[in-house]
Amino acid sequence: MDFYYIFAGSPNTPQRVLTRLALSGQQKVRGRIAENRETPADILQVLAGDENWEVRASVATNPRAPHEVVEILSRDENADVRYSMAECYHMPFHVLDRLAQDENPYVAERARMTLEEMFVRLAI
Amino acid sequence: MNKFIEVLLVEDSPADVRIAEEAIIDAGMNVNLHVVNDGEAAVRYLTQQAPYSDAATPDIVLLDLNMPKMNGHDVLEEIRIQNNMKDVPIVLLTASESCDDVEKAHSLGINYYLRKPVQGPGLSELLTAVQSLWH
Repeated sequence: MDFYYIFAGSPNTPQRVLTRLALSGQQKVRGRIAENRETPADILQVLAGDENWEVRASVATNPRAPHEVVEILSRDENADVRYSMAECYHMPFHVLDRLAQDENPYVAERARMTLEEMFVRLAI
Repeated sequence: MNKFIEVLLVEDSPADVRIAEEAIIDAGMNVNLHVVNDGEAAVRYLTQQAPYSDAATPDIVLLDLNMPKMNGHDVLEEIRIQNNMKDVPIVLLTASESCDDVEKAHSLGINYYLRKPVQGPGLSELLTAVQSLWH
């Protein structure tokens, strides 16, 4: 049983412990911290610079990610990070709008689909 | 020398207490085990009320779900609001197959749950992780 992984994803893990787990050498543990909505904003900011793109994508799609982190990651060099953001309905409109014009056609198309879906939901 | 882990076991069944004691021995860790037998005693222990006025805050609480007087959920509701108990790891012990029981306990602040009977290797891993992360 990987208790580090389990505690990294739990909403009941104290922030002090989440911070400690963010230093883990295991990518999957850092990824779980990056997904956790209870992870402090400053720790998400640190993980936004993680060497692993999956960790950065988890930060990017965490609804608690600070605004400035979202802005930076929406220009991430890895298209998979940008694609993950393009799928998110909670992304700010201007971020999705920029992603809809991404150089990568898959990212751009995905962002356009998300925007269309958002407009449909707003219209209902 | 490794520091002793202070464990509070909240368990009404003498058989389950013995099993937990054996699991702790099996885990081969330095543990000071304190046992209380019902939910009310657990709340008194964790809020340092008589006869537990001198009780130290445990490093981890192993909390049975089904107990007389106050069940595990009631205990969680009482103790998670205490300042000294907000961050103490609490592990629910349950033989229940009900997801609702476990989900309710998670919503009340448990950090993990173990299925009864508690077993040495699982408990050992858990205590090691808690010791390295919380302390």
